[in-house]
Amino acid sequence: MNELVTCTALSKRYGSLTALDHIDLHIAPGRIIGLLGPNGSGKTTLIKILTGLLRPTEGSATVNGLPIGHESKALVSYLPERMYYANWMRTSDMLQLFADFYADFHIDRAKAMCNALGIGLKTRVKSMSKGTKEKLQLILVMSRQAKLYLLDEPIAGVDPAARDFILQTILTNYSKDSSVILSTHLITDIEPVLDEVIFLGNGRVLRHESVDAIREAEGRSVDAVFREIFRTIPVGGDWPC
Amino acid sequence: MLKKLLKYDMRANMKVFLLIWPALIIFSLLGRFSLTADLQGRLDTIFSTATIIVFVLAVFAAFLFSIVLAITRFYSGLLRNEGYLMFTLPVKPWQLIISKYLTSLITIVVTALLSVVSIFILCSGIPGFTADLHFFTAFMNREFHAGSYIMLALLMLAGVSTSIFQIYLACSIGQLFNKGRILFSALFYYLINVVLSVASTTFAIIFGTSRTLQEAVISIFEGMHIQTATFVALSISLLLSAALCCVYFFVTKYILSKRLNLE
Repeated sequence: MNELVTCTALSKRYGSLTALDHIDLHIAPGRIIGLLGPNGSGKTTLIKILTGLLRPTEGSATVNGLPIGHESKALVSYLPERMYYANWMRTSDMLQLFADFYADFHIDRAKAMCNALGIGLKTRVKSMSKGTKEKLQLILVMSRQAKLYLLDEPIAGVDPAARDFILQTILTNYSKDSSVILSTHLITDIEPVLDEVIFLGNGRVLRHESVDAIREAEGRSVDAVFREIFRTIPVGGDWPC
Repeated sequence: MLKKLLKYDMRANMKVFLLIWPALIIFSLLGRFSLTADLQGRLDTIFSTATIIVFVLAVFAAFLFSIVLAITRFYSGLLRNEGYLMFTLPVKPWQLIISKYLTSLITIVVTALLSVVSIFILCSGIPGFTADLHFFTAFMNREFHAGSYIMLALLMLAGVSTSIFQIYLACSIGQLFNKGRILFSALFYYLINVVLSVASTTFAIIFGTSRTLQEAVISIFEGMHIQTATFVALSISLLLSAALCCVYFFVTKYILSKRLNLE
């Protein structure tokens, strides 16, 4: 099978803490994949390794057959969970920066999306609200015709209208040759757009299946399966006398 | 790609320096005017003193800004949130470091050159300045030949480069810690200085007590013309600075390539 992402025995340790524990993953193009797991399960670490921000302690990862490096970075469009703007920049500077560095960036599409959302090209990033900054960052990321989109918590902390915009943007902008991996806790919102899910727990892949297969086998939603897998029994009850 | 990185790094610096550099020249012109203007008594003294103080402060501020910007453009531009953009661009880590370095170097060199020009503008208002300048030039020409001037300029560049790369190395080590990164960066900058001081003191002690070493050095410089001896001494200093720059650069590159630890 034609593979876009391959992880082989991928591990990442921070001192005594194991963030990823011998992960094997194979992701094909043309898929939207939910990377699901509780806090500290290794979602961001996996994404950071695929972007080249972190190096694995053991094992290997490739994107489109390329080891992670400056060549693979040209194929990956990454939305981090934080704002990466320089304070002095305006919208037009960010658009030009992406156009300069990424051959697959469509500046006209980005401008049209900014226009649709009322983001001025001459507006300083520093003066934008948090929501507008997030939208601009998503516009930049999704205006690339990349092979792999890595979206780390793209819908966390935004209002429902913005959430719809983000999901719609993802759906309308990714192509059949590319895949989208998005990590989130808000499964209900993204479930309708997902093709596959990866459940990560304690740095291991607990399940990697298509959404249809899960629904067919379990007869319930991905959200319900997530809650079942990661259920934590609350501590409580009677106080000891 | 380096050219594109330079374009953005230079633009970030120019946002500040396109105000500071013209200000330097304007203040020097004001200072010169105050020295040559024929105002009445105390007013003349107050005006010239005030403009010269403002000029000195402007020169000081320009250098301070160029150093602060060298640190913040590296630290904030690569090791904080902006790092999430810069390290995911399809460029190599050495290109990111060199782009920051060249931008800082150009900013500092232009600031230094403009400071010298503005000092000349200011001093040209002082009576007898031209004669003093001729005396100074004649003195320098006795000690230096053309090659030495070039070597001296290169040595200054190497000195600035060593300082910049030392800051980069200290910041890169500091980012390895999850807490107190700035504190650790400052601590490692200080520790690198301590290591250098210990190394140079040790060398001085060895040199001071070893007759063989002293004789070897004397034999190199013996019979040499003063201008050639100056040239050789400057060349040795340049080599040492260049070697130190290389060590700082390669260690920084290693850390940012293999041990990047963004917040």
